[in-house]
Amino acid sequence: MSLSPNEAADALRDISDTEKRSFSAYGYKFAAPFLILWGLLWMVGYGGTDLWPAESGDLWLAVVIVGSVISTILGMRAEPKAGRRTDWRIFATWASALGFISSMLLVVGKVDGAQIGAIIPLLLAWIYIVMGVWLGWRFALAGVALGALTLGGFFFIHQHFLLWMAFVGGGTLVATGLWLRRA
Amino acid sequence: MEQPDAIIHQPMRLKIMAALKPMPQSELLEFVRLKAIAGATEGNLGAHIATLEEAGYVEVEKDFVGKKPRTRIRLSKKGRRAFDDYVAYLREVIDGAATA
Repeated sequence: MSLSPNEAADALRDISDTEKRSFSAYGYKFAAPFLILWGLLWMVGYGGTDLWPAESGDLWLAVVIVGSVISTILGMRAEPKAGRRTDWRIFATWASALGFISSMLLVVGKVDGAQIGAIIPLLLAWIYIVMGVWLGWRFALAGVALGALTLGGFFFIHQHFLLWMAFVGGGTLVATGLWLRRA
Repeated sequence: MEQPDAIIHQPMRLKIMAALKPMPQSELLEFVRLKAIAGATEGNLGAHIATLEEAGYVEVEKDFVGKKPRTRIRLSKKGRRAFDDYVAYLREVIDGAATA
């Protein structure tokens, strides 16, 4: 039993393709609960901002704190039991994201609620597209959909943009999470 | 390595091993997910997993989620080593041909 160089090359290609599919499936499974969580939180945040605009600052602060805590717990639970050593990285990821967004808004200066409400989802959409390039096409598709829906809502349904983002933006995240869970 | 590992050498078993390799050491992959990744039929996959389990290359855990039975698989340490050796063998074959 021996292999020709061509057969060996074919086998290596098969291995590489299968490993990529497996890596994507693992990434989808890992990401799904975060997308569902943040989709639901967007519904609360954007919907609440539309209903009680004066309370939007406190509301979003609560949403971000609740989301960050639950995300950290989800991340720790998703870690394999034998190797839970990356807890601080999950927390650091959220902390750096919050730091970046706060710094960006400080630099940009005065922006209205709809602009903030569009910038953050667009940033997230870009992150998903990049993840899609490296990890699996479903992330990219979710990113393109989220970006397009955010831009569409901002420019064409500006008056009801917050409600649009609550139901369409949040709904897209929840639906994507459910879709990834079944991938 | 003179000869490839006969157990991994079979194409479907090679795919199973390749699908399990990127997972963290203690992470289990569900049978249904593995079936989709490897592009196998249920019976075919089950038979090959049994062969790999007998060889000590994979570990199989069976339990219930509610009333639904669930089978999950992971690569053992021995399986990881065997897979790495097999990949090294494939590279040797290609490198050997290139330098010949």
